[in-house]
Amino acid sequence: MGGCFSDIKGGQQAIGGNQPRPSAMNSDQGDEHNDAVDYFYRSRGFYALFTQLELSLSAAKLHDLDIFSKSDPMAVVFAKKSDGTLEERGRTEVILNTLDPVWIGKIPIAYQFEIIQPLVFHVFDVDTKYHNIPVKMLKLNEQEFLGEATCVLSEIVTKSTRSLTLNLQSKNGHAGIKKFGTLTVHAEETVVSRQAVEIILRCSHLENKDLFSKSDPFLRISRVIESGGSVPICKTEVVNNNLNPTWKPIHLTMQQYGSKDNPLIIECFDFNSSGKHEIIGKLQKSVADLERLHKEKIGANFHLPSSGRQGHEKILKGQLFVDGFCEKLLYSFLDYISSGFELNFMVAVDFTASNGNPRLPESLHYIDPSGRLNAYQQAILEVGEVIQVYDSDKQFPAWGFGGRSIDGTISHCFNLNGNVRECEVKGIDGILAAYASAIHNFSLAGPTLFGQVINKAAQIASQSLSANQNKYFVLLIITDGVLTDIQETKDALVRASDLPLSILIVGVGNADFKEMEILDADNGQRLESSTGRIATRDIVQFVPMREVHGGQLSVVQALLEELPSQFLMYMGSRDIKPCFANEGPTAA
Amino acid sequence: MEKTSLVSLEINVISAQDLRLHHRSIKKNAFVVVRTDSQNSCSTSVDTRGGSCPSWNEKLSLPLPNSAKFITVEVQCKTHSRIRTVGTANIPVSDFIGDYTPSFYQHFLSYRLREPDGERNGIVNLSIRAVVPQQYNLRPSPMPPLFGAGLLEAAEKRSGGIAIGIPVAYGRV
Repeated sequence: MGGCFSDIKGGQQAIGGNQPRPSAMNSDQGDEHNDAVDYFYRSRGFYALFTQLELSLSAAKLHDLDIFSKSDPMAVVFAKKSDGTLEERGRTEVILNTLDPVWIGKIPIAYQFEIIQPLVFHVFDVDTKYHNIPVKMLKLNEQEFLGEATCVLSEIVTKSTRSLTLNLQSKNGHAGIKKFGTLTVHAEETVVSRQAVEIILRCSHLENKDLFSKSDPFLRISRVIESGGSVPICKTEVVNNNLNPTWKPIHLTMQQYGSKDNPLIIECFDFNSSGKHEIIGKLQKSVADLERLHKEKIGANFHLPSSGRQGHEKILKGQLFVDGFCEKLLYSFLDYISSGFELNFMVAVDFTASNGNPRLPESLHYIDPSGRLNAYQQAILEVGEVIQVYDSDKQFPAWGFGGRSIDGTISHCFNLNGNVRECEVKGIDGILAAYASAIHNFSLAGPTLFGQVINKAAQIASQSLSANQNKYFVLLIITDGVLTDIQETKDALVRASDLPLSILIVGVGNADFKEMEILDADNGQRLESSTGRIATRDIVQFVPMREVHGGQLSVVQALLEELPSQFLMYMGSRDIKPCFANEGPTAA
Repeated sequence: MEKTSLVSLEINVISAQDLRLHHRSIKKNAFVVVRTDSQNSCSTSVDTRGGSCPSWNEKLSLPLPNSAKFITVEVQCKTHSRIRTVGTANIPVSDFIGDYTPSFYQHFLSYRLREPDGERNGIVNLSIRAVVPQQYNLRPSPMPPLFGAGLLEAAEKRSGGIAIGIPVAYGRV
């Protein structure tokens, strides 16, 4: 973002006022068409995918280690990394002489939806001789250990009170005879302000900077900072060949513009594919000024620093109009989750013959007696582990497709648990157990068809809407092969695209999954069914398992990254707000 | 009896994309006509600024006759001399009634527009909500749908399904 103009995509994309994400950028890939429906949806609540949280800690009934007075406790928060090591995230202050401390010091943690974030808490009694040393410098191994607790960050945020009380234990995990007390962790988002503005800008009479055609204007909005310079906060998309352009609505959050009276610099550039964009004009307005321009329906003239006389600005004929100005509240994914919204997990497993005979170790379905997980088990575990925290009843529908049952019929949507009526199993363990038994009871057949499982998932999602609208469904499809009938799948996806449903597809094995990427629609092409209906939104994420080994990004992360924004887009487009807002969760 | 309607439709015509006349993007003055049968139709106002990607965000209200199997959405363009049809989309009623969603559900739908000879044109985006009087509350499954046929039902149970015919004039779909 910022001043990075050097690539065409950078100039041509509607960035629309989002906070920059730390991981791979995934903005709407520039397609030539102004995608009106896309902006209609993205205009509601596209929020940063990691949220900064603050943890506040308190404890009760701590173990008393001091002889003449009570303990002087301090708490330290660690993040447990994938190799098991602990990385300290912060520590509270020391409170003197109490067994029920309520610490003031807050520990910052970035919440990320797509990974499991295990936290470990250690409580120490700080000896009197260290009381005058800043807390940061205390050596933990010199302090008296009072107890340890562990939890996963998503467990805290899914509670309606955003607080979790844990029992403290000794280092080896035994509570033992001695009681160690309890620790309560409370999480709060540091970003408190949900204020945002949506503005529609238009210009008239812009100067023509191109030789054989008209200018291709775009706007860049920057915030003036104390040192006198400016920091870009937003860029519009490029409108080709137009001296009187209207851009798609821009969203600016309060974090970006500061306050309504903070001056913003709005510059209009002519886009050049060489990267050297020529400035057409600029002006300075605050958000409050823009609101006034909108109300009075007048325009503001651009100006350019005059080349001749120093300090003088040449006032141009080009004007900026504010055709739309609207203040709104942007809700985050966590707002919905903690107010009672939930994610419901569903799984579908590929039982086609291309996986190989399950009895042979080379098979993708081989169940290793030593306990090593095969690709299917890994995918189920890793994705399920993250999502199941957001599912209140932990009842997961689980299906297989392409398998042949004992009586010889091939089914493209059979219940993994072998039960004819009920497709649900309990917990991730339930899914793994049902999978293992299905491998024995069903033989691998084919062909690879997703249509029926997608239809079944869509049916479940639709039926839940009659009760309330605070459930969002996530279907995980694990497959080893290329689709036999891609049109059938497209038809099913298009029909499901208007429902509270996202579909994650993991490709295992060595097949060439190029065709699957068409379903993902990340290139901006909306899926079209055979009846002429076009997908309302992009609900598919596809990742081949083999592309990601080691490194920072795991398969799960790549798959789950988009999920909160797909959720927010769905809720936002229907004006469904978190339960604590004035209206209830059902749209009017 | 055939022409009575229990259901009325609340249609929000949102926008359209990539509209072309004679293979060139249209400049302005597009509008949409929605028809539920030969007697019931309603149009939006003309969009003067959007060019080939106009937006209307207009709500239209139309009765849906009981026997109707699909509704027609036509995008037209006002040129100097006359009104030309850019493209048409036929929306099966089963796309918004009788699938497993509750009757009050607002369906956001998009369709490919086709010219009279079958050639593809742009896309139209709209939302449809069925307004059903209380006593006829359309309950989703397990009761069979009242109108059209739920495409989500198994093929064997389907009756009265809709066939969409697209004239093959150019050999490409």
